[in-house]
Amino acid sequence: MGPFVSTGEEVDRMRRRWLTPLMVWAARDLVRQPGRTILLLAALFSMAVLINLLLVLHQTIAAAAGQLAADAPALVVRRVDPHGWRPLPADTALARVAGVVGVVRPRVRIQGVVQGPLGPVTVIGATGDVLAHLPRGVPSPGAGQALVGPAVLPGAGPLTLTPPGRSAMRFAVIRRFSAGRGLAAGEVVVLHADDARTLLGLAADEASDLVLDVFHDEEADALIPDLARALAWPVRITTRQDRLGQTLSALSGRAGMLLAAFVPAILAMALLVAALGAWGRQRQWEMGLFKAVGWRSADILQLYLYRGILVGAPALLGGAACAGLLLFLPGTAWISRLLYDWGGPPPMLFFTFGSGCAGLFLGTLVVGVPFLAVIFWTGWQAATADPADGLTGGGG
Amino acid sequence: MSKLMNFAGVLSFLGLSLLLASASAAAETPARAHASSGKSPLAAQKPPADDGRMQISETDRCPVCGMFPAKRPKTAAAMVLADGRTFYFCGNGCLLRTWHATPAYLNAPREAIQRMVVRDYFSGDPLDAGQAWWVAGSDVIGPMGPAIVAMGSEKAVERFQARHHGKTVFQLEGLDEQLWDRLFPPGKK
Repeated sequence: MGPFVSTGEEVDRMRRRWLTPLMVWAARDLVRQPGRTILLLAALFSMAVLINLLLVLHQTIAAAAGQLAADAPALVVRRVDPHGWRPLPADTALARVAGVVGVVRPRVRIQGVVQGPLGPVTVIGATGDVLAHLPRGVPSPGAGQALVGPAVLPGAGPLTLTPPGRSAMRFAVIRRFSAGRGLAAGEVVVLHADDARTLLGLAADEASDLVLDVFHDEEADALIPDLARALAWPVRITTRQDRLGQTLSALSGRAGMLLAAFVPAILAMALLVAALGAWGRQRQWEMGLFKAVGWRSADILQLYLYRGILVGAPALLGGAACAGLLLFLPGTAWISRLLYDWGGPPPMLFFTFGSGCAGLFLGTLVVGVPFLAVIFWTGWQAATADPADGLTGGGG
Repeated sequence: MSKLMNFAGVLSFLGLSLLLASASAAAETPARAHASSGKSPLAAQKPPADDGRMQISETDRCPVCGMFPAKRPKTAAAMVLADGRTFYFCGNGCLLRTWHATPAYLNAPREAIQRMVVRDYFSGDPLDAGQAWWVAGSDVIGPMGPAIVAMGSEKAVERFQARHHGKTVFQLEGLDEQLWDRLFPPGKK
């Protein structure tokens, strides 16, 4: 109980000494009501985990997609007809495009999507450009051999790939890309160029698409009409920005749907806030008593804030840490499958300082700021109330 | 009391003058500073390679506007003087300004220019500025605003104009005062 004091100096000295005892008082107050405290802690922790999971996952995938787009070719040209994608005569396409002013480093690719053991995988034929980008020490795959990403195969053994409408083919896995290559190589299979052509149904002189770079990024859009004119077939041309925009918009749509799906959880947070408010009102008599024996309004506000911080800080920090572990701990790729309904093998995610910290900070802020605001508001109301009202009719 | 007021007024005037002087010194561009002081700007650390590839260091600055060309390597240009000094520019506009008024910017005569290198807009390949075709008035934006771009062939110029509507095409040998005034209208910085 607050001590009785007589002089101003004594009051000031006592208040200075109370700083730490107030925190102890707040902690003991929380322990005196274990059920309410644990409920609050658990609710805040769950909210922090949920919000951080959504935000950090979105930030991490968006950052990885941005990095992938930055490394990708400026323009991708695909031949199409009314039925969809068609193979491209490689030499003819290269010759026609090479004459277009502004085209830098045109090359054809052999790549497509087939069914792997765990879901759809991206097959890439090991042409010169692909070989140049293989990690150091990784051998070029020969006929019947495959280099695979970490998410393609569940364990050791041969790789079976099934193209749509054709019979399956088996390959010997000679190397797995390290998990550290993240989204870029997660579900990729690199095959000998001839094997890839056979698997994708391409003739010897055909390619799946044609890609090229431009010196100035802004030139990509301006180049599209010239490219379309230069090629003799209907083509679909996409720029790096188009592809990044599609990816990010799909991600944002998904994140929005997830947030909507978690509206009940957000409502639970609102109920928690209401419960906290009631907690403050129910204890008005106690605050009235404190003020009657000499506590200042600032002391009562401090008590509320200490109480909120003692519950909120571990819950928020623990929630952020738990979300980080669920996302980035090796072997926990299930969370992205669960949240984002990943079609193929879910990718391993890797913590990057910029996007990871931004997501965690934002998540903690989204939960922490409203919580602290509520604590402050209820504390302020209790601190500024008339002590007599609290003692006589404070609902205790 | 009135003496005190006068003294305070003098102090305020001096303070304001100092503030204005420091502000105008900060606003002075490197080129103006060089021209007024009679000194030359700091030369780049490395000249372009024999094949024209620019070797821009992080600390090299455009002698006209003070930007760091290493941060904008795609639009950079280079000038090598006969005495061996090299200057890298943030863009072709600053290179042309220096070429046009070499004494003002580099404290050296125009005859001292030995070599100028620009980058082909489409391929990025180094070009001899004297051989390049230049296009101004297009919708392409460079580090200093509307860009003057350089290209290696007339065919490239034709395609560029079709895509970006460049109004004025020229080569350095045809750049007279009349054309200069169209490119850089007097009174505009």
